[in-house]
Amino acid sequence: MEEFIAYLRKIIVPIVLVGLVIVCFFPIFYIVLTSFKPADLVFSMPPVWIFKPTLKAYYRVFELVPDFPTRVFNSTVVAVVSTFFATTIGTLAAYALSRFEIKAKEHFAFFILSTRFAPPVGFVVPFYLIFSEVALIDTLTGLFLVHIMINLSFTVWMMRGIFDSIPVEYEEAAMVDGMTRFQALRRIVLPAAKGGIAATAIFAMIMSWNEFVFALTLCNLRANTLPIALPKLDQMSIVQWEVVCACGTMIIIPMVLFTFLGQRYLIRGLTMGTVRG
Amino acid sequence: MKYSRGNLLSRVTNSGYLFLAPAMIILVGLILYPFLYAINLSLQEWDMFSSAERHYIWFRNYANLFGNPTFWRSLYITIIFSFLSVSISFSIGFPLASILSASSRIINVLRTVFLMPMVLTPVVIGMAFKFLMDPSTGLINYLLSLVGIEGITWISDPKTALISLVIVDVWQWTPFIFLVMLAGFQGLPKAPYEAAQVDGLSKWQIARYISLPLLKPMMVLALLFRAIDSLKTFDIIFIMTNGGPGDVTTTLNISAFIKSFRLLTMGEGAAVVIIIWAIVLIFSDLFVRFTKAREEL
Repeated sequence: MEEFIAYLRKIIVPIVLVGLVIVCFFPIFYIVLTSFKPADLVFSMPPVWIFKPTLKAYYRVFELVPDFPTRVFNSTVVAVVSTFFATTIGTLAAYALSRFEIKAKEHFAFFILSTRFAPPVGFVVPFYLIFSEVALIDTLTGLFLVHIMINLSFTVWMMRGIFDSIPVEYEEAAMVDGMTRFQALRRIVLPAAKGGIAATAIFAMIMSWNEFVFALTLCNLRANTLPIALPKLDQMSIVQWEVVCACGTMIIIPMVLFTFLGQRYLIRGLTMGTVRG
Repeated sequence: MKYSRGNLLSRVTNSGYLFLAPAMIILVGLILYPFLYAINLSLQEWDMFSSAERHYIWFRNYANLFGNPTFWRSLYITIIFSFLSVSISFSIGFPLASILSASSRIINVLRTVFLMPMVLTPVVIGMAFKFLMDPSTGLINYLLSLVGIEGITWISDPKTALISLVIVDVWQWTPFIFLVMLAGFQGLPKAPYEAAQVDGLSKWQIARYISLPLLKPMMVLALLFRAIDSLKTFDIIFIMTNGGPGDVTTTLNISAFIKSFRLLTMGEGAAVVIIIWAIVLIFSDLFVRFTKAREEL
């Protein structure tokens, strides 16, 4: 019996693994494949797997979404700038939470955590109205602020876990040797936390790049980002799926790369550092 | 233990608040203020289509919602969506983790593939499934026709629209349950199992009395995260069905969005927002209690 189970396991494991990989990867593969199909083959069933790839759909994206280059620029700048601020501010706060005696510090930490759970739609309405009053609608500055808000709770918790895992004796020794706290932070602690900071930044970048509902409501002309180009293509009278797929492919390419770079830390990120998967 | 750590350092310099200040300013300005703003708004009547000035009607927005069957329907749809997607993805993800817990090396190689559904841009995923689930020209119906199942109309049919969205959510998040539970299985200590073997416990007894209790914290974490995040789902539903057909996929999030940005009844939209907040808060509170309890162990 035991042997039989072990034997069964040997057969089942590879089958399950292959099935899992196909199920996870196939939909993504299929939209990338479709983006290279000539328009007349997109709907042919059974699907055509081998064909002469064309870039026509990609050209069409630039025709149908004339501000596509601006969107690439906006999405990139917003992701980079907001990630920089969210990571820096979050790292400082996390350092304080990890190393200082602060009154009510756990309350503060959990207040930050609770913001991770707030539904984005809940923030969209007040942000829309507040931004209308202070002329931040449809501006990159407005988006910077929103994305910093979205990522801060995450960067604080993630970095706090990382600082907690660095022995405090390192800094104590450096400060006994005459370094100030800032010097010790800069020369001892931050270099030790390098990997964690990089992972935190990658995660924040992914969240910022993918953000949809705020961009949908807060942008209309100048500050448009990439994800909100898709509903535009979807609302055309005849949806050209190869164009939608080409647009989608261009949006996810950088994220595929980031997923690969940050893979070891992403589950930790998604669970605010509570699971070290 | 954690608290005694700072003692020596705190005596050297007490600039902890300085480090916290930027984060505090942002949290107050960008989270607390909008939150209070939304509460205040939910107590007013403000119809942007009519010329009437916004004015306080106190709890009438809430009273109107609670007296309106469509609100209860939205609440029901939200709960069904979350319940189905969390329970289905857990009942797939947990057994998968258990079967594959011994093959961690190969899973680390494949990790990027498993992570993709949950970190790739949700709207793109939504569009991809809209394409795949097209009733006449979609790939999924074609594959089903190969095994003799004909013509499911997926998101265009009121009967199947919600379950179609659940399927997409399950596709996205089962890998999350799987990877979290895998971490749980890999973190199991060896000693209790050796003891169990000495005592001659059966496989079933080991699973029931040793593995399950040890895995419980991880399960609770995974389920709480999924429950909270599924209640927040917006992007996928918006892009795939936008609450339709009719109102069969109008969750509270979609309803708040429609009220605020289509119907321009800002006060009532804000009231829905506050209700969503209250629901999520219950789960967040559970989560906070749970992590605190875990830290104190």
